[in-house]
Amino acid sequence: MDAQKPLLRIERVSKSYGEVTALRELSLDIAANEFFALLGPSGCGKTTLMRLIAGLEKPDAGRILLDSVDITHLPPHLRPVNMMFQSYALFPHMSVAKNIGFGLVQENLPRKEIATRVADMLGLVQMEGLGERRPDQLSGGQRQRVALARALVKRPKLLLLDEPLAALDRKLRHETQFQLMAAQRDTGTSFVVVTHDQDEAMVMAHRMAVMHAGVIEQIGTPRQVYEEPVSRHVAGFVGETNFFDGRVTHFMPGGVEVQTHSGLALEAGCREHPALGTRVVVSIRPENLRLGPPSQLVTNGAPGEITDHVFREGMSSWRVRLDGGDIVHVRQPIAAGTATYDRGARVFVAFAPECARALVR
Amino acid sequence: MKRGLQPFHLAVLALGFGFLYVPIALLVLYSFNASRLVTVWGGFSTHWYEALLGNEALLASAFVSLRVALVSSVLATILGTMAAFALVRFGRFSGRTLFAGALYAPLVMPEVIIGLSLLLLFVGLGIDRGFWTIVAGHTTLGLCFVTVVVQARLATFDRSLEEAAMDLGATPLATFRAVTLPLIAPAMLAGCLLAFTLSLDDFVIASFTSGPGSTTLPMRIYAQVRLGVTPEVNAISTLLIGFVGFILLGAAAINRLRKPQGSG
Repeated sequence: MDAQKPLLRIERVSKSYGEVTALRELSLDIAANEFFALLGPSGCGKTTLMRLIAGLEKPDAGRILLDSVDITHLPPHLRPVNMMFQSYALFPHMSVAKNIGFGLVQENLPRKEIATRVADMLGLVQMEGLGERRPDQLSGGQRQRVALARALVKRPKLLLLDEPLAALDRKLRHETQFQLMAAQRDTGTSFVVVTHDQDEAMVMAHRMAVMHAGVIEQIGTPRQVYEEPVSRHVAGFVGETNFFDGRVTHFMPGGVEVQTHSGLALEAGCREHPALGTRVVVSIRPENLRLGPPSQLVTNGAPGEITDHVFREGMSSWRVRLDGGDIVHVRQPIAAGTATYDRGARVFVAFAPECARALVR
Repeated sequence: MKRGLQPFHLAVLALGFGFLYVPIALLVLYSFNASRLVTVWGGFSTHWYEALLGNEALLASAFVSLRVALVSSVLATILGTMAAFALVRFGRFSGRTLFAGALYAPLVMPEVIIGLSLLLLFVGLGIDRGFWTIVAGHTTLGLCFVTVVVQARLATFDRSLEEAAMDLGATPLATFRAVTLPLIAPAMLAGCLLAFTLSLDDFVIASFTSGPGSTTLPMRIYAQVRLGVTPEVNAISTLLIGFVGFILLGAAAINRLRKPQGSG
């Protein structure tokens, strides 16, 4: 992937609206045939970045290259990039078939070819026989599929999807994720999904970029980002985690020992080399914590008391108040023979240092 | 809440409607009067409608009115739509408040003043008054109504529809033709019909801006009434009311029809 030339290259692009900076010298490469997710909270600049790629906005500085061609100043209708809008933006005065064929009509293709390709797309999104319906006669899920078909019919090199699942209910969202992944594989188009939902990004994307305040904080596979977050913001945004604020007290191979403000001494892996006394935050995922009987004594851990216990989706979740004052969240799969603890029980919380991350930022 | 009408509500309703429509109903009724005397009922007759066909002056005026209404409503629709785009889409350009104020002024300004100022303008510029000066006056009046109607539609217009069209390869012009225009067309048509009826009804502005040979129907009726109310006048007025009422109902129906549906 890295050896090839990227399909899309964004070079130090900046954009601001009045006094608000939406993007700050942002650079990003997206490969051909890649499913890429731009993840971040609202206002992080991800939508602006997508609109810049589509040509709906112009950057203040920087370049955008598609297949090594500079498209920074190309108007949207001349870009081989298509977009699926969050509102779907289906034309209400046109039938489903007319909506899907709209992009082909603009290319002045022969009517026969348009009809064939529209029929193909209706098949791809399992909407055969619904071509004559109007958008207001469709369900939310059907509209979403029409929007996808309309954006794919021109066989763009790159498809942008703005919160493609936001308007669907939970169950439909789950199915549609897999439909989108299949559509990406079948068409060989690069998909760039913009989302604020980390679950969506984790499930669908080959790689993801976590954005915050106009910059990309981290790019990587979902697993890399989840297991080795580079900053407090990324660790908190992607998945659940427990944070412990503290200062570096010792160095160890590949990591540091941190004295937390609540008095715990934690070992954690660290990519950077902070000086002694640097303020850091240790992030430990709930599934990397283990509960044991209070008599147990290990180095990385602390005694505490269960305050809540919830069972959900095959996992037990506990909330534990450590004696030092920290409240931590522990999650374990339910398996036969696993000891369980109820509210008020005394426990010992332990974690493996290789799963904890000390974050400087 | 109680359903149905209570006597008090019924009385209020009857009073209100009576106040508004009894005079018109009387006029319509007496247009079918067989008697020449306006105040005495002499039996049902369509005689006065037949007599209308022989009154060439009245028919000529009706024709002038229709032509003025047609031309001025089309002009008002084009200009009013452009003004609505300027107000909704151009952001806060300098002079926007003044522009909006000037646009809406004819809504609240007494027609006498509009008529008088137009008269002064035409005299000052040395323009001969006639058909086109009435058209100019009525376009001014009609365009503010068109602007109001089209602006309301544009304000709720989902811009992502236009962005989607451009994203799919439509040039800005093609986008306007294929997406924007069809979606605001009902509002434009409703505004156009409104402007048409306003022009057809107008007496004050027309009497300030008309010249020889361009007497509109309301002016002709007024001139005839000064010589005494004849059932003939009642008949032409009834026709005018019927025509205008029909068009206004049409405008309301069109504007209600094809309101953009909720995206739920």
